[in-house]
Amino acid sequence: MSGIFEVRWHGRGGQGVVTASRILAVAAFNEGFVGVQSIPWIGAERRGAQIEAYNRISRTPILLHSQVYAPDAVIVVDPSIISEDNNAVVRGLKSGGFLVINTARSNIISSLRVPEGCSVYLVDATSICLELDLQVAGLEVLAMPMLGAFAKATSLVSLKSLEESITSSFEAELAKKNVDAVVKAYESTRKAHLMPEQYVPPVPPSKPIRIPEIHHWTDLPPVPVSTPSKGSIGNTGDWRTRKPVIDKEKCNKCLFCWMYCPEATINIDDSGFPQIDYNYCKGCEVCFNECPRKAISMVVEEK
Amino acid sequence: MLPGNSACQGCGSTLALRWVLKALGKKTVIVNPASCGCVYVGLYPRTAVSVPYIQMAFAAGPAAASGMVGGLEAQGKKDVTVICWAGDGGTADIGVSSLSGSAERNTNYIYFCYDNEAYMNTGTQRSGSTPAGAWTTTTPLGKKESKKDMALIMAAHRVPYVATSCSSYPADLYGKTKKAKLIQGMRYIHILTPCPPGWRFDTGLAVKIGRLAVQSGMWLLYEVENGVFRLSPPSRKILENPEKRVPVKEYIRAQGRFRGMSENEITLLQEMIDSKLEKVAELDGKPLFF
Ligand SMILES: Cc1ncc(C[n+]2csc(CCOP(=O)(O)OP(=O)(O)O)c2C)c(N)n1
Ligand code: SF4
Ligand SMILES: [Mg+2]
Repeated sequence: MSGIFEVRWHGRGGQGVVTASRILAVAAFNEGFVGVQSIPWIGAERRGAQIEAYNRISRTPILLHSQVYAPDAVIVVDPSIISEDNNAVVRGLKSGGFLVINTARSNIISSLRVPEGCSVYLVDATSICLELDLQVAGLEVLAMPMLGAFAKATSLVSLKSLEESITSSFEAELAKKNVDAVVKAYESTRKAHLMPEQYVPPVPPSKPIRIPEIHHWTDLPPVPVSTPSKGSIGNTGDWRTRKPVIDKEKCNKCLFCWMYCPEATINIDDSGFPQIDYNYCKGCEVCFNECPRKAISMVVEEK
Repeated sequence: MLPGNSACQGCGSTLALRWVLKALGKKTVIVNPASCGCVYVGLYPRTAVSVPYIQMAFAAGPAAASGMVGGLEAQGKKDVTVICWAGDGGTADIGVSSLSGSAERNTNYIYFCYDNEAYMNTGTQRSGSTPAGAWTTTTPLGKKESKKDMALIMAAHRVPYVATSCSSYPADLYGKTKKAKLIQGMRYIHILTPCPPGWRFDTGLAVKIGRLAVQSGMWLLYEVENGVFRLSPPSRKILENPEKRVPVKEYIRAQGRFRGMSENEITLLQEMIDSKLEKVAELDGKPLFF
Protein backbone atom coordinates (compact mmCIF):
# COMPACT_ATOMS: atom_id res chain seq x y z
CA MET A 1 0.00 0.00 0.00
CA SER A 2 1.29 3.47 -0.81
CA GLY A 3 -0.22 6.76 0.32
CA ILE A 4 -3.17 7.06 2.69
CA PHE A 5 -5.85 4.39 2.88
CA GLU A 6 -9.17 6.00 3.77
CA VAL A 7 -12.22 4.29 5.29
CA ARG A 8 -15.79 5.50 5.74
CA TRP A 9 -18.21 3.74 8.10
CA HIS A 10 -21.99 3.96 7.71
CA GLY A 11 -24.13 2.90 10.64
CA ARG A 12 -26.66 4.07 13.16
CA GLY A 13 -26.09 5.53 16.62
CA GLY A 14 -25.80 2.78 19.22
CA GLN A 15 -24.24 0.18 16.90
CA GLY A 16 -20.71 0.79 18.12
CA VAL A 17 -19.48 2.50 14.96
CA VAL A 18 -17.33 5.10 16.68
CA THR A 19 -15.83 2.50 19.04
CA ALA A 20 -15.06 0.11 16.17
CA SER A 21 -13.39 2.87 14.19
CA ARG A 22 -11.17 3.64 17.19
CA ILE A 23 -10.29 -0.03 17.57
CA LEU A 24 -9.36 -0.20 13.90
CA ALA A 25 -7.00 2.76 14.28
CA VAL A 26 -5.24 1.16 17.24
CA ALA A 27 -5.07 -2.19 15.41
CA ALA A 28 -3.51 -0.54 12.37
CA PHE A 29 -0.95 1.09 14.64
CA ASN A 30 -0.19 -2.32 16.19
CA GLU A 31 0.23 -3.58 12.64
CA GLY A 32 3.06 -1.11 12.10
CA PHE A 33 1.30 1.79 10.39
CA VAL A 34 2.68 5.04 11.76
CA GLY A 35 -0.12 7.34 10.62
CA VAL A 36 -3.53 6.32 11.95
CA GLN A 37 -6.69 8.32 12.55
CA SER A 38 -10.17 7.57 13.85
CA ILE A 39 -12.63 10.39 13.27
CA PRO A 40 -16.20 10.48 14.60
CA TRP A 41 -18.68 12.43 12.54
CA ILE A 42 -20.13 15.42 14.39
CA GLY A 43 -23.90 15.58 14.28
CA ALA A 44 -26.92 14.20 16.09
CA GLU A 45 -25.50 11.05 17.67
CA ARG A 46 -28.88 9.91 18.89
CA ARG A 47 -29.43 6.17 18.78
CA GLY A 48 -30.81 4.94 15.52
CA ALA A 49 -29.87 8.10 13.64
CA GLN A 50 -27.60 7.56 10.62
CA ILE A 51 -24.02 8.31 11.48
CA GLU A 52 -20.62 8.06 9.85
CA ALA A 53 -17.11 7.59 11.15
CA TYR A 54 -13.79 7.64 9.32
CA ASN A 55 -10.33 6.11 9.46
CA ARG A 56 -7.06 7.00 7.80
CA ILE A 57 -4.21 4.52 7.72
CA SER A 58 -0.75 5.28 6.36
CA ARG A 59 2.91 4.19 6.51
CA THR A 60 3.88 7.80 7.21
CA PRO A 61 2.41 10.42 9.58
CA ILE A 62 -0.84 12.00 8.29
CA LEU A 63 -1.20 15.76 8.22
CA LEU A 64 -4.71 15.82 6.77
CA HIS A 65 -7.45 16.23 9.41
CA SER A 66 -10.73 16.49 7.50
CA GLN A 67 -13.62 14.10 7.02
CA VAL A 68 -13.03 11.41 4.41
CA TYR A 69 -14.58 12.30 1.06
CA ALA A 70 -13.05 9.77 -1.35
CA PRO A 71 -12.68 6.51 0.62
CA ASP A 72 -10.76 3.43 -0.46
CA ALA A 73 -13.14 1.29 1.60
CA VAL A 74 -16.69 1.75 2.79
CA ILE A 75 -18.09 -0.33 5.64
CA VAL A 76 -21.88 -0.57 5.85
CA VAL A 77 -22.83 -1.63 9.37
CA ASP A 78 -26.58 -1.37 8.94
CA PRO A 79 -27.91 -2.89 5.69
CA SER A 80 -31.02 -0.69 5.69
CA ILE A 81 -28.81 2.30 4.94
CA ILE A 82 -27.70 0.93 1.60
CA SER A 83 -31.18 -0.21 0.63
CA GLU A 84 -32.44 3.30 1.39
CA ASP A 85 -29.87 5.07 -0.75
CA ASN A 86 -27.19 3.19 -2.69
CA ASN A 87 -25.46 6.36 -3.91
CA ALA A 88 -25.14 7.92 -0.47
CA VAL A 89 -23.05 4.91 0.52
CA VAL A 90 -20.81 4.63 -2.55
CA ARG A 91 -20.36 8.38 -3.05
CA GLY A 92 -16.70 9.15 -3.48
CA LEU A 93 -15.71 5.47 -3.28
CA LYS A 94 -12.65 5.02 -5.48
CA SER A 95 -12.83 2.59 -8.38
CA GLY A 96 -10.96 -0.51 -7.34
CA GLY A 97 -12.01 0.10 -3.72
CA PHE A 98 -13.73 -2.14 -1.20
CA LEU A 99 -17.35 -2.23 -0.08
CA VAL A 100 -17.97 -4.34 3.02
CA ILE A 101 -21.62 -4.91 3.89
CA ASN A 102 -23.43 -6.47 6.83
CA THR A 103 -26.29 -8.43 5.33
CA ALA A 104 -27.98 -11.80 5.42
CA ARG A 105 -30.19 -11.10 2.44
CA SER A 106 -28.97 -11.80 -1.02
CA ASN A 107 -31.58 -9.53 -2.65
CA ILE A 108 -29.63 -6.50 -1.44
CA ILE A 109 -26.80 -7.66 -3.69
CA SER A 110 -28.74 -7.69 -6.93
CA SER A 111 -29.77 -4.04 -6.53
CA LEU A 112 -26.24 -2.80 -5.70
CA ARG A 113 -24.48 -0.32 -7.98
CA VAL A 114 -20.76 0.07 -7.30
CA PRO A 115 -17.88 1.94 -8.96
CA GLU A 116 -15.94 -0.07 -11.55
CA GLY A 117 -13.33 -2.42 -10.23
CA CYS A 118 -14.68 -2.44 -6.68
CA SER A 119 -14.83 -5.64 -4.70
CA VAL A 120 -17.86 -6.27 -2.52
CA TYR A 121 -17.64 -8.39 0.61
CA LEU A 122 -20.57 -9.68 2.66
CA VAL A 123 -20.90 -10.83 6.24
CA ASP A 124 -23.93 -11.54 8.43
CA ALA A 125 -22.86 -9.43 11.42
CA THR A 126 -26.37 -9.28 12.82
CA SER A 127 -26.57 -13.06 13.28
CA ILE A 128 -23.08 -13.14 14.78
CA CYS A 129 -24.09 -10.54 17.40
CA LEU A 130 -27.33 -12.34 18.17
CA GLU A 131 -25.55 -15.66 18.48
CA LEU A 132 -22.85 -14.31 20.82
CA ASP A 133 -25.28 -12.01 22.64
CA LEU A 134 -23.01 -9.09 21.79
CA GLN A 135 -25.23 -6.25 22.99
CA VAL A 136 -24.84 -2.96 24.77
CA ALA A 137 -27.94 -1.48 26.41
CA GLY A 138 -30.21 -3.78 24.42
CA LEU A 139 -28.70 -3.01 21.02
CA GLU A 140 -26.54 -5.31 18.93
CA VAL A 141 -23.02 -3.92 18.52
CA LEU A 142 -23.01 -4.63 14.80
CA ALA A 143 -19.85 -2.67 14.07
CA MET A 144 -17.56 -5.05 15.93
CA PRO A 145 -17.86 -8.07 13.60
CA MET A 146 -17.40 -5.68 10.69
CA LEU A 147 -13.78 -5.29 11.80
CA GLY A 148 -13.21 -8.97 11.00
CA ALA A 149 -14.89 -8.58 7.63
CA PHE A 150 -12.76 -5.51 6.87
CA ALA A 151 -9.58 -7.41 7.75
CA LYS A 152 -10.58 -10.27 5.45
CA ALA A 153 -11.51 -7.98 2.58
CA THR A 154 -8.51 -5.65 2.63
CA SER A 155 -5.77 -7.72 4.36
CA LEU A 156 -4.67 -4.39 5.82
CA VAL A 157 -4.75 -5.46 9.47
CA SER A 158 -4.34 -8.96 10.90
CA LEU A 159 -6.65 -10.69 13.33
CA LYS A 160 -3.81 -10.58 15.84
CA SER A 161 -3.58 -6.77 15.76
CA LEU A 162 -7.35 -6.49 16.07
CA GLU A 163 -7.31 -8.83 19.04
CA GLU A 164 -4.59 -6.77 20.77
CA SER A 165 -6.52 -3.61 20.16
CA ILE A 166 -9.74 -5.10 21.54
CA THR A 167 -8.17 -6.57 24.68
CA SER A 168 -6.59 -3.21 25.47
CA SER A 169 -10.03 -1.53 25.26
CA PHE A 170 -12.40 -3.85 27.13
CA GLU A 171 -12.49 -5.92 30.29
CA ALA A 172 -11.56 -9.59 29.93
CA GLU A 173 -15.00 -11.14 29.43
CA LEU A 174 -16.34 -8.48 27.12
CA ALA A 175 -13.07 -8.47 25.19
CA LYS A 176 -13.39 -12.20 24.57
CA LYS A 177 -16.90 -11.81 23.20
CA ASN A 178 -15.75 -9.07 20.86
CA VAL A 179 -12.74 -11.06 19.69
CA ASP A 180 -14.97 -14.08 19.05
CA ALA A 181 -17.29 -11.92 16.97
CA VAL A 182 -14.39 -10.54 14.93
CA VAL A 183 -12.93 -14.00 14.29
CA LYS A 184 -16.31 -15.45 13.35
CA ALA A 185 -16.88 -12.60 10.94
CA TYR A 186 -13.40 -12.99 9.45
CA GLU A 187 -14.07 -16.66 8.78
CA SER A 188 -17.53 -16.18 7.30
CA THR A 189 -16.89 -13.13 5.11
CA ARG A 190 -17.29 -13.93 1.44
CA LYS A 191 -16.82 -12.06 -1.79
CA ALA A 192 -19.97 -11.20 -3.76
CA HIS A 193 -20.11 -11.69 -7.52
CA LEU A 194 -21.88 -8.89 -9.30
CA MET A 195 -23.29 -8.71 -12.82
CA PRO A 196 -21.34 -6.54 -15.30
CA GLU A 197 -24.18 -3.97 -15.42
CA GLN A 198 -23.86 -3.43 -11.68
CA TYR A 199 -20.52 -1.69 -12.16
CA VAL A 200 -21.06 2.01 -12.80
CA PRO A 201 -18.83 5.07 -13.11
CA PRO A 202 -17.73 6.38 -9.68
CA VAL A 203 -20.25 8.62 -7.87
CA PRO A 204 -18.58 11.99 -7.19
CA PRO A 205 -17.94 12.94 -3.55
CA SER A 206 -20.46 15.35 -2.06
CA LYS A 207 -19.50 19.00 -2.40
CA PRO A 208 -19.48 21.30 0.63
CA ILE A 209 -22.65 23.42 0.85
CA ARG A 210 -22.07 27.04 -0.23
CA ILE A 211 -23.78 29.63 1.93
CA PRO A 212 -24.91 32.60 -0.20
CA GLU A 213 -23.52 36.01 0.72
CA ILE A 214 -26.01 38.24 2.50
CA HIS A 215 -25.70 42.03 2.13
CA HIS A 216 -29.26 43.16 2.74
CA TRP A 217 -32.23 41.57 4.51
CA THR A 218 -33.88 40.94 1.15
CA ASP A 219 -31.04 38.47 0.41
CA LEU A 220 -32.18 36.31 3.32
CA PRO A 221 -33.87 33.05 2.38
CA PRO A 222 -37.54 32.72 3.36
CA VAL A 223 -38.11 31.43 6.92
CA PRO A 224 -38.07 27.64 6.61
CA VAL A 225 -41.36 26.08 7.73
CA SER A 226 -41.59 22.30 8.10
CA THR A 227 -44.64 20.19 7.38
CA PRO A 228 -45.90 17.80 10.06
CA SER A 229 -45.34 14.30 8.76
CA LYS A 230 -45.09 10.75 9.96
CA GLY A 231 -41.61 9.40 9.41
CA SER A 232 -40.03 12.85 9.63
CA ILE A 233 -36.66 11.08 9.76
CA GLY A 234 -37.63 8.13 7.54
CA ASN A 235 -38.97 4.66 8.23
CA THR A 236 -37.66 4.24 11.76
CA GLY A 237 -38.92 0.64 11.67
CA ASP A 238 -35.57 -0.08 10.01
CA TRP A 239 -33.83 0.54 13.35
CA ARG A 240 -35.33 -2.61 14.87
CA THR A 241 -33.58 -5.91 15.36
CA ARG A 242 -36.58 -7.43 17.18
CA LYS A 243 -40.20 -6.66 16.63
CA PRO A 244 -43.03 -6.72 19.17
CA VAL A 245 -45.90 -9.00 18.24
CA ILE A 246 -49.23 -8.82 20.07
CA ASP A 247 -51.02 -12.08 20.86
CA LYS A 248 -54.71 -11.20 20.56
CA GLU A 249 -55.69 -14.29 22.52
CA LYS A 250 -53.93 -12.93 25.60
CA CYS A 251 -54.59 -9.19 25.06
CA ASN A 252 -57.48 -7.81 27.12
CA LYS A 253 -57.39 -4.36 25.46
CA CYS A 254 -56.06 -2.55 28.56
CA LEU A 255 -54.03 -0.39 26.13
CA PHE A 256 -51.07 0.10 28.47
CA CYS A 257 -48.84 -0.49 25.45
CA TRP A 258 -50.58 2.33 23.60
CA MET A 259 -50.27 4.60 26.64
CA TYR A 260 -46.56 3.99 27.19
CA CYS A 261 -45.32 3.86 23.58
CA PRO A 262 -42.66 6.61 23.38
CA GLU A 263 -42.96 6.63 19.62
CA ALA A 264 -46.78 7.02 19.38
CA THR A 265 -46.68 4.13 16.95
CA ILE A 266 -49.36 1.96 18.54
CA ASN A 267 -52.88 2.72 17.37
CA ILE A 268 -56.24 1.30 18.37
CA ASP A 269 -58.05 -0.70 15.71
CA ASP A 270 -61.83 -0.83 15.14
CA SER A 271 -62.35 -3.65 17.61
CA GLY A 272 -60.37 -1.90 20.36
CA PHE A 273 -57.16 -3.93 20.01
CA PRO A 274 -53.78 -2.19 19.97
CA GLN A 275 -52.15 -2.27 16.55
CA ILE A 276 -48.47 -1.58 15.96
CA ASP A 277 -47.37 0.44 12.96
CA TYR A 278 -44.22 -1.46 12.00
CA ASN A 279 -43.13 1.26 9.59
CA TYR A 280 -42.08 3.34 12.57
CA CYS A 281 -41.80 0.99 15.60
CA LYS A 282 -38.14 1.26 16.66
CA GLY A 283 -38.30 -1.92 18.72
CA CYS A 284 -37.56 -0.26 22.07
CA GLU A 285 -39.35 -3.06 23.98
CA VAL A 286 -41.19 -0.72 26.36
CA CYS A 287 -44.57 -2.27 25.40
CA PHE A 288 -43.10 -5.75 25.84
CA ASN A 289 -42.09 -4.88 29.41
CA GLU A 290 -45.24 -2.96 30.34
CA CYS A 291 -47.91 -5.38 29.09
CA PRO A 292 -49.51 -6.70 32.31
CA ARG A 293 -50.79 -9.83 30.53
CA LYS A 294 -47.47 -10.65 28.86
CA ALA A 295 -49.32 -10.66 25.55
CA ILE A 296 -46.42 -9.11 23.63
CA SER A 297 -43.40 -11.10 22.52
CA MET A 298 -40.24 -9.86 20.81
CA VAL A 299 -39.45 -11.69 17.59
CA VAL A 300 -36.08 -11.49 15.83
CA GLU A 301 -36.45 -9.45 12.66
CA GLU A 302 -35.58 -10.87 9.24
CA LYS A 303 -33.61 -8.20 7.43
CA MET B 1 -46.46 13.75 18.30
CA LEU B 2 -46.06 11.74 15.11
CA PRO B 3 -44.19 8.43 14.83
CA GLY B 4 -41.01 8.05 12.83
CA ASN B 5 -39.15 10.86 14.61
CA SER B 6 -35.45 10.83 15.39
CA ALA B 7 -35.56 10.30 19.18
CA CYS B 8 -33.70 7.31 20.59
CA GLN B 9 -35.52 4.06 21.23
CA GLY B 10 -37.32 4.27 24.57
CA CYS B 11 -36.94 8.06 24.96
CA GLY B 12 -38.86 9.26 28.03
CA SER B 13 -38.89 12.81 26.74
CA THR B 14 -40.96 12.01 23.62
CA LEU B 15 -43.36 9.96 25.75
CA ALA B 16 -43.84 13.01 27.98
CA LEU B 17 -44.28 15.42 25.06
CA ARG B 18 -46.86 13.09 23.54
CA TRP B 19 -49.04 13.33 26.67
CA VAL B 20 -48.48 17.05 27.14
CA LEU B 21 -49.68 17.70 23.59
CA LYS B 22 -52.68 15.40 24.05
CA ALA B 23 -53.66 17.48 27.10
CA LEU B 24 -53.10 20.87 25.46
CA GLY B 25 -54.74 20.25 22.08
CA LYS B 26 -54.19 21.85 18.69
CA LYS B 27 -54.20 25.50 19.75
CA THR B 28 -50.74 25.33 21.21
CA VAL B 29 -47.48 26.95 20.22
CA ILE B 30 -44.18 25.44 21.34
CA VAL B 31 -40.90 27.24 21.86
CA ASN B 32 -37.98 24.85 22.23
CA PRO B 33 -34.45 25.96 23.08
CA ALA B 34 -31.54 23.81 21.82
CA SER B 35 -31.86 20.26 23.17
CA CYS B 36 -32.76 16.74 22.08
CA GLY B 37 -36.22 18.19 21.47
CA CYS B 38 -34.88 20.30 18.61
CA VAL B 39 -33.57 17.16 16.96
CA TYR B 40 -36.37 14.69 17.54
CA VAL B 41 -39.02 17.01 16.14
CA GLY B 42 -37.31 16.51 12.81
CA LEU B 43 -35.21 18.26 10.20
CA TYR B 44 -36.54 20.69 7.63
CA PRO B 45 -38.71 20.13 5.56
CA ARG B 46 -40.51 17.71 7.86
CA THR B 47 -41.49 17.78 11.53
CA ALA B 48 -42.89 15.26 14.00
CA VAL B 49 -45.21 17.64 15.86
CA SER B 50 -48.47 18.86 14.42
CA VAL B 51 -48.53 22.24 16.16
CA PRO B 52 -46.41 25.33 15.46
CA TYR B 53 -42.98 24.80 16.88
CA ILE B 54 -40.12 27.26 17.09
CA GLN B 55 -36.52 26.23 17.64
CA MET B 56 -34.77 28.81 19.76
CA ALA B 57 -31.27 29.68 20.89
CA PHE B 58 -30.21 27.78 23.99
CA ALA B 59 -30.53 30.60 26.54
CA ALA B 60 -33.56 32.29 25.07
CA GLY B 61 -36.55 29.94 25.44
CA PRO B 62 -38.50 31.97 28.01
CA ALA B 63 -37.64 35.25 26.29
CA ALA B 64 -39.00 33.94 22.99
CA ALA B 65 -42.10 32.56 24.72
CA SER B 66 -42.65 35.96 26.35
CA GLY B 67 -42.47 37.56 22.92
CA MET B 68 -44.99 35.06 21.55
CA VAL B 69 -47.37 35.75 24.42
CA GLY B 70 -47.05 39.50 23.80
CA GLY B 71 -47.64 39.06 20.08
CA LEU B 72 -50.72 36.92 20.57
CA GLU B 73 -52.12 39.37 23.12
CA ALA B 74 -51.59 42.26 20.70
CA GLN B 75 -53.55 40.33 18.08
CA GLY B 76 -56.33 39.67 20.58
CA LYS B 77 -55.89 35.89 20.36
CA LYS B 78 -56.92 34.54 23.73
CA ASP B 79 -57.36 30.84 23.05
CA VAL B 80 -53.77 29.91 22.21
CA THR B 81 -51.54 28.28 24.83
CA VAL B 82 -47.85 29.15 24.60
CA ILE B 83 -45.45 26.64 26.08
CA CYS B 84 -41.74 26.38 26.40
CA TRP B 85 -40.38 22.83 26.14
CA ALA B 86 -36.83 22.79 27.43
CA GLY B 87 -34.20 20.34 28.67
CA ASP B 88 -32.70 20.46 32.14
CA GLY B 89 -29.52 22.11 30.89
CA GLY B 90 -31.59 24.77 29.12
CA THR B 91 -33.59 25.22 32.32
CA ALA B 92 -31.28 24.87 35.31
CA ASP B 93 -28.11 26.26 33.74
CA ILE B 94 -28.06 28.48 30.68
CA GLY B 95 -31.75 29.45 30.58
CA VAL B 96 -32.25 30.13 34.26
CA SER B 97 -32.01 33.92 34.14
CA SER B 98 -34.47 34.25 31.28
CA LEU B 99 -36.78 31.76 33.02
CA SER B 100 -36.58 33.59 36.32
CA GLY B 101 -37.36 36.88 34.57
CA SER B 102 -40.48 35.48 32.93
CA ALA B 103 -41.62 34.06 36.29
CA GLU B 104 -41.08 37.38 38.01
CA ARG B 105 -43.20 39.06 35.30
CA ASN B 106 -45.74 36.23 35.65
CA THR B 107 -45.80 35.85 31.87
CA ASN B 108 -48.86 33.92 30.73
CA TYR B 109 -47.31 30.64 29.51
CA ILE B 110 -46.47 27.13 30.66
CA TYR B 111 -42.83 26.18 31.04
CA PHE B 112 -42.05 22.48 30.85
CA CYS B 113 -38.64 21.23 31.83
CA TYR B 114 -38.09 17.68 30.67
CA ASP B 115 -35.34 16.49 32.93
CA ASN B 116 -33.05 13.76 31.60
CA GLU B 117 -30.49 14.94 34.14
CA ALA B 118 -27.68 15.90 31.74
CA TYR B 119 -26.89 17.49 28.38
CA MET B 120 -27.99 14.53 26.32
CA ASN B 121 -28.19 16.01 22.84
CA THR B 122 -24.47 16.62 22.88
CA GLY B 123 -23.62 13.20 24.35
CA THR B 124 -24.14 13.35 28.15
CA GLN B 125 -22.33 16.19 29.89
CA ARG B 126 -23.24 17.10 33.47
CA SER B 127 -25.84 19.78 34.15
CA GLY B 128 -26.95 21.50 37.35
CA SER B 129 -29.75 18.97 37.34
CA THR B 130 -27.52 15.87 37.27
CA PRO B 131 -27.85 14.02 40.59
CA ALA B 132 -24.86 13.36 42.86
CA GLY B 133 -23.04 10.13 42.07
CA ALA B 134 -24.03 10.03 38.39
CA TRP B 135 -21.44 9.38 35.72
CA THR B 136 -21.39 11.76 32.76
CA THR B 137 -18.60 12.40 30.27
CA THR B 138 -17.62 15.47 32.32
CA THR B 139 -17.95 13.68 35.69
CA PRO B 140 -16.15 10.42 34.91
CA LEU B 141 -15.89 9.55 38.61
CA GLY B 142 -19.47 10.52 39.43
CA LYS B 143 -20.83 13.99 40.11
CA LYS B 144 -19.82 15.40 43.49
CA GLU B 145 -22.42 18.15 43.78
CA SER B 146 -26.12 17.52 44.33
CA LYS B 147 -29.03 18.17 42.00
CA LYS B 148 -30.37 21.70 41.74
CA ASP B 149 -34.03 21.73 42.80
CA MET B 150 -35.58 23.76 39.98
CA ALA B 151 -39.22 23.12 40.95
CA LEU B 152 -38.72 24.61 44.42
CA ILE B 153 -36.73 27.50 42.98
CA MET B 154 -39.69 28.22 40.70
CA ALA B 155 -42.16 27.86 43.59
CA ALA B 156 -40.13 30.48 45.44
CA HIS B 157 -40.98 32.88 42.60
CA ARG B 158 -44.58 32.62 43.91
CA VAL B 159 -45.98 31.76 40.48
CA PRO B 160 -49.55 30.44 40.54
CA TYR B 161 -48.73 26.82 39.65
CA VAL B 162 -45.71 24.56 39.98
CA ALA B 163 -45.80 20.79 39.59
CA THR B 164 -43.47 17.85 39.16
CA SER B 165 -44.24 14.76 37.13
CA CYS B 166 -42.57 11.84 35.38
CA SER B 167 -42.94 10.33 31.92
CA SER B 168 -43.70 6.94 33.48
CA TYR B 169 -46.95 8.40 34.88
CA PRO B 170 -48.83 9.62 31.80
CA ALA B 171 -52.12 10.07 33.72
CA ASP B 172 -50.41 12.27 36.32
CA LEU B 173 -48.73 14.35 33.62
CA TYR B 174 -51.91 14.63 31.56
CA GLY B 175 -53.95 15.77 34.57
CA LYS B 176 -51.40 18.37 35.67
CA THR B 177 -51.05 19.75 32.15
CA LYS B 178 -54.86 20.03 31.78
CA LYS B 179 -55.01 21.86 35.09
CA ALA B 180 -52.13 24.17 34.18
CA LYS B 181 -53.86 25.05 30.92
CA LEU B 182 -56.80 26.55 32.84
CA ILE B 183 -54.61 28.73 35.06
CA GLN B 184 -53.48 32.23 34.06
CA GLY B 185 -49.93 33.44 34.53
CA MET B 186 -46.64 31.59 34.68
CA ARG B 187 -46.93 27.85 35.22
CA TYR B 188 -43.98 25.51 35.64
CA ILE B 189 -44.01 21.72 35.26
CA HIS B 190 -40.83 19.72 35.85
CA ILE B 191 -40.90 16.21 34.34
CA LEU B 192 -38.36 13.50 35.09
CA THR B 193 -37.75 11.70 31.76
CA PRO B 194 -35.48 8.64 31.82
CA CYS B 195 -32.97 8.55 28.96
CA PRO B 196 -31.65 5.07 28.03
CA PRO B 197 -28.33 6.07 26.42
CA GLY B 198 -27.50 8.75 28.98
CA TRP B 199 -28.52 6.79 32.06
CA ARG B 200 -27.19 3.53 30.68
CA PHE B 201 -30.06 1.07 30.84
CA ASP B 202 -31.87 -1.13 28.31
CA THR B 203 -34.38 0.80 26.20
CA GLY B 204 -37.24 -1.46 27.23
CA LEU B 205 -36.88 -0.40 30.88
CA ALA B 206 -37.54 3.29 30.18
CA VAL B 207 -40.93 3.32 31.91
CA LYS B 208 -39.87 1.03 34.74
CA ILE B 209 -36.87 3.20 35.69
CA GLY B 210 -39.08 6.29 36.05
CA ARG B 211 -41.48 4.29 38.17
CA LEU B 212 -38.61 3.16 40.44
CA ALA B 213 -37.54 6.79 40.84
CA VAL B 214 -40.98 7.64 42.21
CA GLN B 215 -41.55 4.45 44.19
CA SER B 216 -38.22 4.85 45.95
CA GLY B 217 -38.91 8.47 46.84
CA MET B 218 -35.83 9.59 44.87
CA TRP B 219 -38.23 11.68 42.75
CA LEU B 220 -41.35 13.24 44.32
CA LEU B 221 -44.56 14.01 42.46
CA TYR B 222 -46.29 17.09 43.86
CA GLU B 223 -48.02 20.36 43.09
CA VAL B 224 -47.59 23.82 44.56
CA GLU B 225 -50.81 25.66 43.82
CA ASN B 226 -50.97 29.25 45.01
CA GLY B 227 -48.18 28.45 47.42
CA VAL B 228 -49.80 25.34 48.93
CA PHE B 229 -47.79 22.13 48.69
CA ARG B 230 -49.67 18.93 47.90
CA LEU B 231 -48.26 15.49 47.20
CA SER B 232 -49.65 13.62 44.21
CA PRO B 233 -51.15 10.13 44.67
CA PRO B 234 -48.16 8.02 43.55
CA SER B 235 -45.86 9.78 46.03
CA ARG B 236 -48.46 9.96 48.81
CA LYS B 237 -48.84 6.20 48.44
CA ILE B 238 -45.25 5.48 49.45
CA LEU B 239 -45.55 7.89 52.39
CA GLU B 240 -48.72 6.32 53.73
CA ASN B 241 -47.63 2.75 53.07
CA PRO B 242 -43.93 2.47 53.88
CA GLU B 243 -44.06 -1.20 52.83
CA LYS B 244 -44.75 -0.01 49.26
CA ARG B 245 -41.54 2.03 49.31
CA VAL B 246 -38.80 0.55 47.12
CA PRO B 247 -35.23 0.74 48.47
CA VAL B 248 -33.37 3.38 46.49
CA LYS B 249 -30.69 0.79 45.80
CA GLU B 250 -33.03 -0.83 43.27
CA TYR B 251 -33.28 2.43 41.35
CA ILE B 252 -29.53 3.09 41.54
CA ARG B 253 -28.37 -0.40 40.59
CA ALA B 254 -30.74 -0.57 37.61
CA GLN B 255 -28.67 2.11 35.84
CA GLY B 256 -25.12 2.06 34.52
CA ARG B 257 -24.54 5.76 35.26
CA PHE B 258 -24.44 5.05 39.03
CA ARG B 259 -22.01 2.15 38.68
CA GLY B 260 -19.34 4.07 40.59
CA MET B 261 -21.52 4.52 43.70
CA SER B 262 -20.40 2.44 46.68
CA GLU B 263 -22.74 0.57 49.03
CA ASN B 264 -21.89 3.17 51.65
CA GLU B 265 -22.94 6.03 49.41
CA ILE B 266 -26.20 4.28 48.64
CA THR B 267 -26.92 3.82 52.36
CA LEU B 268 -26.30 7.54 52.89
CA LEU B 269 -28.62 8.35 49.98
CA GLN B 270 -31.30 6.11 51.50
CA GLU B 271 -30.98 7.98 54.82
CA MET B 272 -31.33 11.31 53.03
CA ILE B 273 -34.46 10.13 51.26
CA ASP B 274 -35.97 8.81 54.48
CA SER B 275 -35.48 12.11 56.26
CA LYS B 276 -36.75 14.02 53.19
CA LEU B 277 -39.94 11.95 53.21
CA GLU B 278 -40.48 12.66 56.91
CA LYS B 279 -40.31 16.40 56.29
CA VAL B 280 -42.51 16.15 53.23
CA ALA B 281 -45.20 14.33 55.23
CA GLU B 282 -45.38 17.34 57.56
CA LEU B 283 -45.62 19.81 54.67
CA ASP B 284 -48.39 18.04 52.75
CA GLY B 285 -51.40 20.35 52.38
CA LYS B 286 -49.63 23.34 53.93
CA PRO B 287 -48.20 26.58 52.52
CA LEU B 288 -44.63 26.04 51.41
CA PHE B 289 -43.26 29.46 52.27
CA PHE B 290 -43.86 31.99 55.01
C1 LIG C 1 -25.10 28.71 23.53
C2 LIG C 1 -25.05 27.27 23.16
N1 LIG C 1 -24.13 26.45 23.73
C3 LIG C 1 -24.09 25.15 23.42
C4 LIG C 1 -24.98 24.61 22.52
C5 LIG C 1 -24.89 23.14 22.15
N2 LIG C 1 -26.00 22.36 22.72
C6 LIG C 1 -27.09 22.06 22.00
S1 LIG C 1 -28.21 21.11 22.83
C7 LIG C 1 -27.18 21.05 24.17
C8 LIG C 1 -27.55 20.25 25.38
C9 LIG C 1 -28.91 20.52 25.89
O1 LIG C 1 -29.07 19.89 27.12
P1 LIG C 1 -30.48 19.92 27.84
O2 LIG C 1 -31.00 21.29 27.90
O3 LIG C 1 -30.38 19.18 29.13
O4 LIG C 1 -31.41 19.09 26.83
P2 LIG C 1 -31.20 17.58 26.36
O5 LIG C 1 -30.32 17.60 25.15
O6 LIG C 1 -30.62 16.83 27.49
O7 LIG C 1 -32.56 17.11 26.00
C10 LIG C 1 -26.01 21.80 23.96
C11 LIG C 1 -24.92 21.94 24.93
C12 LIG C 1 -25.92 25.48 21.93
N3 LIG C 1 -26.83 25.04 21.05
N4 LIG C 1 -25.93 26.80 22.25
S1 SF4 D 1 -30.49 11.28 24.28
FE1 SF4 D 1 -32.04 10.74 25.82
S2 SF4 D 1 -33.47 12.48 25.90
FE2 SF4 D 1 -32.24 12.66 24.01
S3 SF4 D 1 -33.53 11.73 22.41
FE3 SF4 D 1 -32.14 10.14 23.24
S4 SF4 D 1 -33.32 9.13 24.89
FE4 SF4 D 1 -34.32 11.07 24.41
MG1 LIG E 1 -30.96 17.25 29.50
